Amino acid sequence: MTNLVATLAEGLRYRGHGGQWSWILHRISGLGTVLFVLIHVADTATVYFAPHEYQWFIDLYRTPVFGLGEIALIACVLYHGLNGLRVTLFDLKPAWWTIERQRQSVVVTAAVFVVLFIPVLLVMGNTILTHLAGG
Amino acid sequence: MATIATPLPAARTRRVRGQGRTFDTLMWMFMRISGAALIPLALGHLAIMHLINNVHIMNACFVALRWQFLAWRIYDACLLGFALTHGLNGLRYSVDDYVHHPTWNRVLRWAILIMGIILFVAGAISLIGGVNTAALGIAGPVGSIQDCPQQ
Repeated sequence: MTNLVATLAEGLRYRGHGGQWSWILHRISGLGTVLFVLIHVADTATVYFAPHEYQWFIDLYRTPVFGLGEIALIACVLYHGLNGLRVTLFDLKPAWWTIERQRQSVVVTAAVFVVLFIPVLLVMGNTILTHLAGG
Repeated sequence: MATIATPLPAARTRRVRGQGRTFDTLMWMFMRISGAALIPLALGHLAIMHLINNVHIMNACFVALRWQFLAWRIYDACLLGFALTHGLNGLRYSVDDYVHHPTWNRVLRWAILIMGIILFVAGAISLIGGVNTAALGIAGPVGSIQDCPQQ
């Protein structure tokens, strides 16, 4: 626990620029995604083991709070995937290991994320608002 | 001003003998391979389930209709295997980074492994067994989403 507190405190104190922020975001988005993957495997397994309970989960996911969580989940998966691709490409290409290129890659990743996430936000935000209005 | 010619320092690099393939070097490679596979698998799944369809359309009959195609069950099986192993290995990395107490570290690693096995087996049984439509009072194959009891 003290390690976790120290990590969070030092993570904010240490000014590691984009590279460090991308590492922090990669970890948070990964942990957020795996948390939902664990719940999601369990809820889907109810279709075989307890099919009446499946609807309980679906009804829970239909609430606006989970709707917002759903948008956060897409953000986590999208960022984690794009940043993971960046990390993998750099692992494969040692010739790219310059500070300028690493910094550029963080900016490019953030830009691609924003471009892809805007339509997601519009479509999913619209779904929540439609069902809030429609009851 | 006299310039002092300093000789270039001798190369400080040395060749380190490889440790061979350890579990962690294999997992390092696995994270990249499974990660690359998960980009189309997970993003495709999210696009189909959350953008094209959404949670207000879904019910057990939606799942049953989808699983009438063997290809979707194979797709979901790949997603189950890769997402669980990739995610839980990432969770193991986090536990190793933050939990240094030997007993707690070991307890959490075992908890992750056992949870992973239970979820994988439960998911695999569901994928093979399919939606238990008989328990929902549906006779024969599901024809539409409306076949499931409406809320």
